[in-house]
Amino acid sequence: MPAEPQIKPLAYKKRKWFFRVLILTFAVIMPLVVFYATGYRFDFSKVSPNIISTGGMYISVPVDGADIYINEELVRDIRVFRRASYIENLNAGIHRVHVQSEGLQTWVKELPVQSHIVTEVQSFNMPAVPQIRLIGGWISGTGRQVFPKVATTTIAQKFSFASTTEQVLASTTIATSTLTANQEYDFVRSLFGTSTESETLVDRVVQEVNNAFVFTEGATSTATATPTTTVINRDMKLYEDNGEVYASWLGRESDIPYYFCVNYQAASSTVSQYGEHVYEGVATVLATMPITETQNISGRICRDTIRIDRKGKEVKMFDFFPNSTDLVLLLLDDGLYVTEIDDRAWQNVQLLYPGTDIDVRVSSGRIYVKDDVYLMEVFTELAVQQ
Amino acid sequence: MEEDSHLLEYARRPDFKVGRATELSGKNRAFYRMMEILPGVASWATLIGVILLSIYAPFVAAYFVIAFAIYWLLKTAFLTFHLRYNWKRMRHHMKLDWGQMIERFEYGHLYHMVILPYYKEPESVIDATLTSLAHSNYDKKSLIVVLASEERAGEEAQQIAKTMKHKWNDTFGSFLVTTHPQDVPGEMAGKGSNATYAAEQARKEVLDPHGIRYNHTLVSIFDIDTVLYPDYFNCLVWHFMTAERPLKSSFQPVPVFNNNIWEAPAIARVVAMSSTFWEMVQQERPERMATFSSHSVSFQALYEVGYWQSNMVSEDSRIYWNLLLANNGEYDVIPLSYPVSMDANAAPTLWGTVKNIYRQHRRWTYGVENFVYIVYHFTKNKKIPLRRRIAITLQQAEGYWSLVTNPIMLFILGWAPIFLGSQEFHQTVLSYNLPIMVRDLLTLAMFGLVVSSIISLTLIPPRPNHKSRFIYLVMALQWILVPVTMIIFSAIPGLDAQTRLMFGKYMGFWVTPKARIDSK
Repeated sequence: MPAEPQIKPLAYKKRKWFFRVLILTFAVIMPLVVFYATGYRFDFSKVSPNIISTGGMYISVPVDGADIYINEELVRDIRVFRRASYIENLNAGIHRVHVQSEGLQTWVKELPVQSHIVTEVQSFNMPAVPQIRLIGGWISGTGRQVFPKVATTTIAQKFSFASTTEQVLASTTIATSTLTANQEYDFVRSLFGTSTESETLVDRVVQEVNNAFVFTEGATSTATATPTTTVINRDMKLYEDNGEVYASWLGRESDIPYYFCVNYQAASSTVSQYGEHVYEGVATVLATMPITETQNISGRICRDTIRIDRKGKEVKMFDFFPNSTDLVLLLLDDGLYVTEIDDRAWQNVQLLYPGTDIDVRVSSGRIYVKDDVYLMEVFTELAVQQ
Repeated sequence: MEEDSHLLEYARRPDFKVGRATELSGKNRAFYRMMEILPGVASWATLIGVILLSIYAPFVAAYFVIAFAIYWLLKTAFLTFHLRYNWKRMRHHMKLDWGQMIERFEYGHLYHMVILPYYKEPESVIDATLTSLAHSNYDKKSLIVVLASEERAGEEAQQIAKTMKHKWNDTFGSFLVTTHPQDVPGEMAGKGSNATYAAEQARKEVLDPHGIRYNHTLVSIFDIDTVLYPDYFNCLVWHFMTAERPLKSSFQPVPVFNNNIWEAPAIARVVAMSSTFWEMVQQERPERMATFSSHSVSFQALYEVGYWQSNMVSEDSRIYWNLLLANNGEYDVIPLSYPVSMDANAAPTLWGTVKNIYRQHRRWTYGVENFVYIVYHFTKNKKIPLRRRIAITLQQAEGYWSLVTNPIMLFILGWAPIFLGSQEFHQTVLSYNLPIMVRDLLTLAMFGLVVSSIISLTLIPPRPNHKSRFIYLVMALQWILVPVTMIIFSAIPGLDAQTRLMFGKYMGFWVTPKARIDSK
């Protein structure tokens, strides 16, 4: 038996040595991590490797499984934050971004990326084929929407451009005495201001509810009159002025959405990076500032109003896209469109439902369309066929 | 004490055993009060500072958070290095035949006084402790067992004492039951006052009548749930006999909180093992050690400072500082790297366990009162080398500050710049990378938890038959609770304790319930 334990206490010298190694490690790692975190990268692609400054892009993609392309290349190395993707290591300059998914329209935008700065953007992808659910006046015993006095082929032809989520019964021979009245139909008709005896009752209920609750901020507006001239949702206002539709920020400057702001260096770079129309807004802001401040200004400048692209067509109606203050529903001459307020480079405009003689209402987060005599709900996502 | 001639010179000062500022007067009182305020102010200032920095200088705050996460990673590596080494050393010590190793010494003159203060703990807990004493590989006739009861615990506690004396009286050299009177002026009801009373009674009733010399008596004060490993006293004697200055040293075993580990819920297991691991780390850096919980010390040393303080909460650590100061810095803690088993803090219900652990840790972290005491006396006792005084002050300050601030900064305030920073900050690559970097660094630091998980599995007692093997998996995975336990049972009770001290809301002694849960 030994006189003393073979394993001695950890020697002070050894501990001190290890401590010093860790201090050295800290001294080496700290600047490297900070450099990396701020966007510096070592570029090995060149013959003589050097340090470059990179930026990033943060893309909100509401569609699950959508592919993101930057400069026509599929991005694989992304960090996913819920329904958004953070793409690192982008060189400063203009980058073309595609977001696409099967069955959906493609969203495309050209955006500038600056060193050490993350360009934020939100894509949206409406269905390539309109997704509708017809709302009949009657419901059969099996729960189907029923369109009496209409031939099945008539409906099929009428909506051949769209995908319907439910099968409907259409027959010129069905007697309504065997059916149940569809209350949803009555409600939707009331939204479009068509009155029947039963609708009067619904109208009254709606009116009572509206009287009981004052819908102000936070509630997506329901159109009560056509044409709409001002709609406010939270701190965002949509308004019409001289045939144009504008989006205007009413809230605190610190909470302003990113697309109202640009990183301004000079007029020329702002025009080339974001477009002349964006510079016009920036110039308006600069004009309100004291000249001493504008001489050497460089950094974030925010406008408070953005014009919505109406594609040169007459706007019949506009409203916020359900549950969003970043997207706008536009009813134009040839159909219902969704467009983004973000006007950097250009505004993506996607067709939601085509038609020259349609009317639209938004209620409780749902979009209702009246096309001829037909009422329907239009979906903004790919609906599952039943 | 009738007189104080036996006390060391510095221990005769009237303020030697000061417990709080209100016991002093004049400038001393003002200084002591300032020191009581300092830890809380430092911790709150740090936490609020990080928030303000995040709002007004988010870039600086982000760099600070990154630096802090790297520091944490390296600190984890540093502590894991010590932990793993001590684990290796402790296992080695447990395999040694210490009885044989001390044969080369003449130690027959040594007596072991074992003081077991208790309050209302059940008979089974006390009996288990005495049973382990009886099973130790040491001459039981050299053991003087002092079962220290409290008058305020009532008749039932006295009855238990009688039962224990009847059962164990003949097993040990001496078995003394003491009853600490209640409501003694100037005393705080708690372990310190009870132990001090017991030690003095033992001196009068056992040591002096039998002519046992104080410098031949080693006092081991154990929490009542302490179960000894068989070679504890042999190991203690070896370290005592080989110590550079045995009468100027305290001997610290590793408290392994595993008596009831199979019955305790996961959260109690993690907290208990974390406490054990911290003590294991400290065993490898004795210059930062103070005595904690169960420990041993010569009676001579205790007698020279008047035993434990009776007017404060964390007497187990304070006795070391008393001894260090009274001996003008010529005093050490010698780590034994040998375990004693104690109870994990577990109540019959999960919520009860959470409450008990919180209270226990608040009491432990109230040890910050020792920082005040040390700084105060370091300004008085100039015989301790200045360098040592500064080193100890900084070590203790860092310890109490980091205990409270580190977990909160890492797991909560690390994200503050992202939530509180300006728009200019939010649009930067740094803002987006900050949570990723911090998350990655903390994930890397998880290797420390993996090591902890492995080591913890080697420290648990054999699995009872009624427990499924599946629980091993749970015990390995339970370590993911560490971020939560660090905040709830370390940072928040620490902040609670420091805040109480800061506002002069002095804490009393809360007795940890030691009832064992019947798992069946």
